[in-house]
Amino acid sequence: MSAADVRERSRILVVEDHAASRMLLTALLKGQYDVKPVVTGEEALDAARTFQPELVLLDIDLPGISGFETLERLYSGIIDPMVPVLFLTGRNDTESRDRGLSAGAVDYLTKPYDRTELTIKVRNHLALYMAKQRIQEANRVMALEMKMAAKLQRSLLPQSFPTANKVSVVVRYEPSSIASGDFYDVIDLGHGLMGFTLVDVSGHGVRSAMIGAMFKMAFQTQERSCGEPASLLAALNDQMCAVIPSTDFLTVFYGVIDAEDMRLYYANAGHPKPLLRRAASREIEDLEVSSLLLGAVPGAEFEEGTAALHPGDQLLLFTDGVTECAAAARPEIMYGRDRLRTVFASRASLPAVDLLEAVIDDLKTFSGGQGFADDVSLLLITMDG
Amino acid sequence: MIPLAELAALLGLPEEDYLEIVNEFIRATDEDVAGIRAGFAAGDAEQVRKRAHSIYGAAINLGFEELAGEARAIELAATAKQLSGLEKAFNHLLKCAEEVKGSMPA
Repeated sequence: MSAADVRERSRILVVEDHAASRMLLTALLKGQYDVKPVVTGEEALDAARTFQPELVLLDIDLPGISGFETLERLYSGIIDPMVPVLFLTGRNDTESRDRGLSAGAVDYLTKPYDRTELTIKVRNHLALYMAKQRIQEANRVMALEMKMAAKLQRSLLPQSFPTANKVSVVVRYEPSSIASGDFYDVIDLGHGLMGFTLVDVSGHGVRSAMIGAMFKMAFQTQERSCGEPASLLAALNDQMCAVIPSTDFLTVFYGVIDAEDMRLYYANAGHPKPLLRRAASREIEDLEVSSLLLGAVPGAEFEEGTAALHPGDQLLLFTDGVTECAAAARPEIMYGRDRLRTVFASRASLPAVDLLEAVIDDLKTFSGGQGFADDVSLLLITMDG
Repeated sequence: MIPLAELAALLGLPEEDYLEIVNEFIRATDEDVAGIRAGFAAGDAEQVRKRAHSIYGAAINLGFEELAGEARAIELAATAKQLSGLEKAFNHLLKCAEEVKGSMPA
């Protein structure tokens, strides 16, 4: 901090009953600051309401209410508790000092005070106050931006899905308290083909939300021109590599279901492997194919997988907000794939919406009922019988 | 004689401003001295303490160390409810206060 951090003519309220002492303090400070001298605690309370001091120099032994009580009342809504109050008193006993500092005073100076020390402390406490104000303002702006980012992120998500023969889709999205970049979409590609994707952008906040928005734009441009999932991810990868910083990336699962041939074609850019539950055997398979993260390496190629589908089969896509959800009591323990697999298997008889609700309930139980630290997205695709 | 111009310079104040403050100090000290006398007469140690504290607080920052020292001694004795035997200190305090007055330009 330096003198430059202190605003020109900061307002200082001087509360001192001794006329000569009050005049002396005023004379010492008035060259740099806007000084308001008052005699009593009551006058200080009145003056503070209109003068709105940015620092208060307060004597303890005052006629009427004491300096201690004045401080208490000032901080009870008359001035911002961040406004520094410095006691300046003839009392040099430990009890008074402790009481003053405990009441919230930032400093306790005893008479005789050194003029240089006094002016340095006044300047430093003012600079600290200004810095705190700037941080408070920055936090306010940041909270507003986060809110806008969260809104932007929500606006990326589809309000409804296209209806398709033989395929039904339900989604469950639980946003965390901070904006991130989860994104999902389902597209009718025509000719009995349905495309679907689940995306997780690295990190949180405005940046992730912006990257999510960029991905959506790129996805909407490419989705119909690239027929095969692996080709689509390759094209999206090159596009995202060109626009996002090298430190950022996305995990993306993209699949196409051919409802006529009952077949799934898919590619996976570093996304948690979806679970495919077979209706007939009740076994759960991992969709094994996985490639590099999207946006990490220009020119990357993506492997493509395929799987036969049968009526009643269910495909569960999820973000790592599910599997990496931490236990409340032991944050080092994560929810994990095995627990998800168990819930998925044991609640198979439930309608799709209820099944996802059961997963969310189990996650909440696991995490202790607190809000999730990361966005939780679940996409469940059922091949109708 | 107390070198008031030098004390003003030490405080970084224009001499005129400093003398104005000292003038106010003299006026307030007269009142405090009267309060101490009344306190002695009534055996009111708290009043003596408050008045002596008032003189001490202002005197020390204006550079009147001797006067501040006597005021402090009286304040501490009064805090301990020991008002007897303070005549000498009080008389010296009066002498110091007079010296401040006498040092003011005519």
